[in-house]
Amino acid sequence: MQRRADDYLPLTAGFFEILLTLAEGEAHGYAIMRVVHERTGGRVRLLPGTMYRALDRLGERGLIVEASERPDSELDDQRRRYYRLTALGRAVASAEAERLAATVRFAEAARLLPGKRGLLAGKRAR
Amino acid sequence: MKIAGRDDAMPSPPYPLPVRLALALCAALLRSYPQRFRARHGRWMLQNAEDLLRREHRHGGLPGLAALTARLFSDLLLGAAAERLRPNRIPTSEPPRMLDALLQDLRFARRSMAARPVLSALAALTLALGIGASASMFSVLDRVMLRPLPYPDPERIVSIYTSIPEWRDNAYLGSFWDRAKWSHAEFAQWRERESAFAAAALVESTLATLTGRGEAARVAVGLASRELFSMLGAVPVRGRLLTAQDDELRAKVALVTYGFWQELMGGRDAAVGETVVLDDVPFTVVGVLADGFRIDGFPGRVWLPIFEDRPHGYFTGNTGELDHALRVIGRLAPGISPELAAEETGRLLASIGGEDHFTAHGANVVPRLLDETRRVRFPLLLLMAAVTLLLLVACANVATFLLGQAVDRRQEIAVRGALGAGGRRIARQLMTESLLLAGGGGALGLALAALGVRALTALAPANLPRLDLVELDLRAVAFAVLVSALCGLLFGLAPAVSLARTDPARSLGALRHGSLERSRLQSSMVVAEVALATVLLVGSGLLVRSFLRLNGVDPGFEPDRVLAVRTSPGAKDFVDSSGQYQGAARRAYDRAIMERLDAVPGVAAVTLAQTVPFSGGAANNNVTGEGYEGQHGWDTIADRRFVEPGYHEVMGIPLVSGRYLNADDARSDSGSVVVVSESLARTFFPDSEAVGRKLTWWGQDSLIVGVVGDVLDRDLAAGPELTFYTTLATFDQSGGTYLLRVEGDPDDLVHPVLEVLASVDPDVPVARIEPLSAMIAGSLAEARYRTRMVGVFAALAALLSVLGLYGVTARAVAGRTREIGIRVALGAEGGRVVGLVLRDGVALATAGAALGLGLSLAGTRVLSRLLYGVEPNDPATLAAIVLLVGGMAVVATLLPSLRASRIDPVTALRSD
Repeated sequence: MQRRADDYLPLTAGFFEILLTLAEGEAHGYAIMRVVHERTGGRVRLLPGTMYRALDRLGERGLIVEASERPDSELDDQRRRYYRLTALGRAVASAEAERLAATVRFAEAARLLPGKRGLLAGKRAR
Repeated sequence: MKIAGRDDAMPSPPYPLPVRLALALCAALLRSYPQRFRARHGRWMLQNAEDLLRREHRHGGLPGLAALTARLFSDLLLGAAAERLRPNRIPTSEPPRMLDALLQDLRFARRSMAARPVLSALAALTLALGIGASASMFSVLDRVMLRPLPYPDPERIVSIYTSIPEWRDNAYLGSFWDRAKWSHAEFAQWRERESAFAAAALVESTLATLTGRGEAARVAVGLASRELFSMLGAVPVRGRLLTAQDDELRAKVALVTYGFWQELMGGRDAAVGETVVLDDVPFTVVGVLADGFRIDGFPGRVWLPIFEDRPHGYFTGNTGELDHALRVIGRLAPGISPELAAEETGRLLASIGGEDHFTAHGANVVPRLLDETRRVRFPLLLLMAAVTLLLLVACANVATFLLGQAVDRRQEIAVRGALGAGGRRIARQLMTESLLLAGGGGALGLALAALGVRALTALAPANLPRLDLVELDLRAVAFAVLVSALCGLLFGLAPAVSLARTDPARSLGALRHGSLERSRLQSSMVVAEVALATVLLVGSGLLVRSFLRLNGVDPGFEPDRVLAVRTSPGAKDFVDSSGQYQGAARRAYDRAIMERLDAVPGVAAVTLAQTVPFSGGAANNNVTGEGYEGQHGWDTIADRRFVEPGYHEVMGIPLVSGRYLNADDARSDSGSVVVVSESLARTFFPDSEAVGRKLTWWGQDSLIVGVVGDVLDRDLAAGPELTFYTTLATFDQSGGTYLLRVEGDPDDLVHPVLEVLASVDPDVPVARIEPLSAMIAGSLAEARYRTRMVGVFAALAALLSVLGLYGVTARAVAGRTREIGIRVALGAEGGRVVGLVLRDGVALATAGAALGLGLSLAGTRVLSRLLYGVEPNDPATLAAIVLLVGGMAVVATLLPSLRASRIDPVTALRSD
């Protein structure tokens, strides 16, 4: 039974963050952790227990595959396992991104999001 | 160090020790993941953890590392739990949403409990017992010792004592060498120089006769420097607090408590400005303290400013400038620890003090809460420990029940598993049932706790501070909820895990066989239960024996035949024209009253004593014997008793040699004579007759005319004090308690005596009237309380473990019906079958009792300070408990074994 990308929506935040990270290219577990941590300004911190369960599920559903095992030149000489997005994974990630974008548009229409000026003013006030 | 769980031989780089420890923890946790998951991801997870830990150690140091380790711990643990509970079948339909699933679980749990109403009710009741007992005990503990005192920054409020190290080794003074009191002079000089306290105040309490407001009554009066009230954040609801002007004017002003204002002043606004008359001195009420103002240990309902020169009368008694009779409460300055404050205070006191042996050389600063609860802390913790054991027994009991039930339900679970319910779903279902049971038990327990709190406070001895505030409040409810949830998890976990692992194929095929593992778990639960109950029983047995010993101690007099009556006439009737108090006038008054009391039918004799046994009062002197040159120096202290002649006859204290005090001794011109106790005579005249020798005390010599038996009059558990007796008149002393020797029951005379007193002087309040035996019983109140409570908890625990043992044995018999049937068919007699079952039950109980005895021997040592005349490993008690547990085991297993003996082989073999 072939599933469509929409069947996987909505994704949990952790799943989406991982897919988002892998959309930029192959990465190993620690790299995913660091990228997600930095991108979210420290709000999302995936720890091994959580992350490998997510990677396991994503692999089971065919959204990612294990790419290769090789050392990361920037870390040390230990081998790491890299993960890569599958075509289905890429489709699911972009479907989720579109869903989120649509949600954001609705939020704007409902005047829940301030304009650019408002946003800056708000930041300064804080 | 080899890191467990690391599957391939990756060399372990030389990381710092904390990182390696954290990694070892992670590796250990990885072991709890399912094999499939671990094989696939374990290595990479560990490597990730390593990366994280190293980075954190570089950037965040040790604190960061600790925080990260904690987070990793919970992340990996939760991950493992989730992974383990994950169904390993591919879901055929969308799993139901969270709430729906929960509701479904709850509905199902209710149904399955309703299907076993007796068992469920019994389990819930058992839990209710445990939770109810612990919640009510917690309420008491919480209110008495955990809640902060009702002052701003309560942890900075401290009691300040002086300490006199020379007293430490003294038999008499040793117990309060570091809790000595202050004099006005010491306080004033110290206060001028000290810097460790933001505020400090002198405090004392006394009793006074209140007149002019209804019947004359004794009220508790507090005396304090005005700083006390602002220091404790007291707020007047009417009027004002004390001011500096009050001090300058030596004003006769008073603050009254809210309760006093409501009860005795009608709660009127106009109460401020009214006067209250205390011991005939009028004081103007200037303020009403807010409801809830209290300082435990100082029960004053009227508070007066304290002055070193006692300007306002007689009742302020012992507070002369140089008397060491005052206590001090202070507020530590910010940033100052009690130790630092004590150090400074001690140094100042040593430089202030005079040369006498009352000079303090140190100070002892104790937080108020600790100080107030110092006597009750240990007994209360002991009771809480006892109740916790009871709760554990209850949990183990319920777990046994549930495990047994789990055996019965294997088929049901297997069917559900075969129909596609995942392990997680089934485990959650079972946990829901346990939690529902715990919830029911908890709710019921709360109801029991409401009763329990009332019982605990009603029976409690009066020395528990804040007892009147104990109630089943939100904190206790929260405690009960928490405990219930924990219990639910505790006793729910084992059956849930055990059942969720059930393999459908095997259970459906081979019912009733191979439950060995589960029954072993059940058996160990029962063993644990019996062991815990044994510990409680041993503790209780020791306390009971100790209490009986204490109760049986001969105090050296005959308390059952003596009625103590204390009245409190005001001082004004006994002053002469110049305002000087006349002891002789008071003695004449007392003699007149005694004559009237003597005439009451049933009264055999009457006497008077300034302090009576077990009244809490005591007076003493440094003494020495004529020609004595032994090791007992000035610091030998003896109890001093001012009595009317006839005291020893009324009290029933036996004469050892010489004679009792007589009426001639009571003439003020007769020269001073004393009667001494046997132990005093022995101390100073070990080799010769004491009668005819002299006792030196109070700067003069008294002739010893008699030696009487030793008397225990403060603490039955302590040895006798050295005591000497002399007449009131010789030293112009007066007042005290009338002691009536009665024929028959002293209680019967209370009414006639009160009538006589009222006819003599209706304005004189009776402060106390009770048999001496009741006063002795009062001194045992605390021991009686803890003995009784631990006894109740132990009895409940024993009952529960009997139930548990019964349940397991009954179940075992049911499970072995077939086997027993075959045995009977092969010719086993009823007696043998009974023996078979009994043997198993008794074996469990024996294992439990042995374990319990071991635990007791290790644990009851802490009891030793509460025991009197019994060793914590008292063989008689231990033997009795072993017999008791054995008896319990026989009772619990008898019924099931009789049932086993009646098994009909034909039915048994056909049943499967």
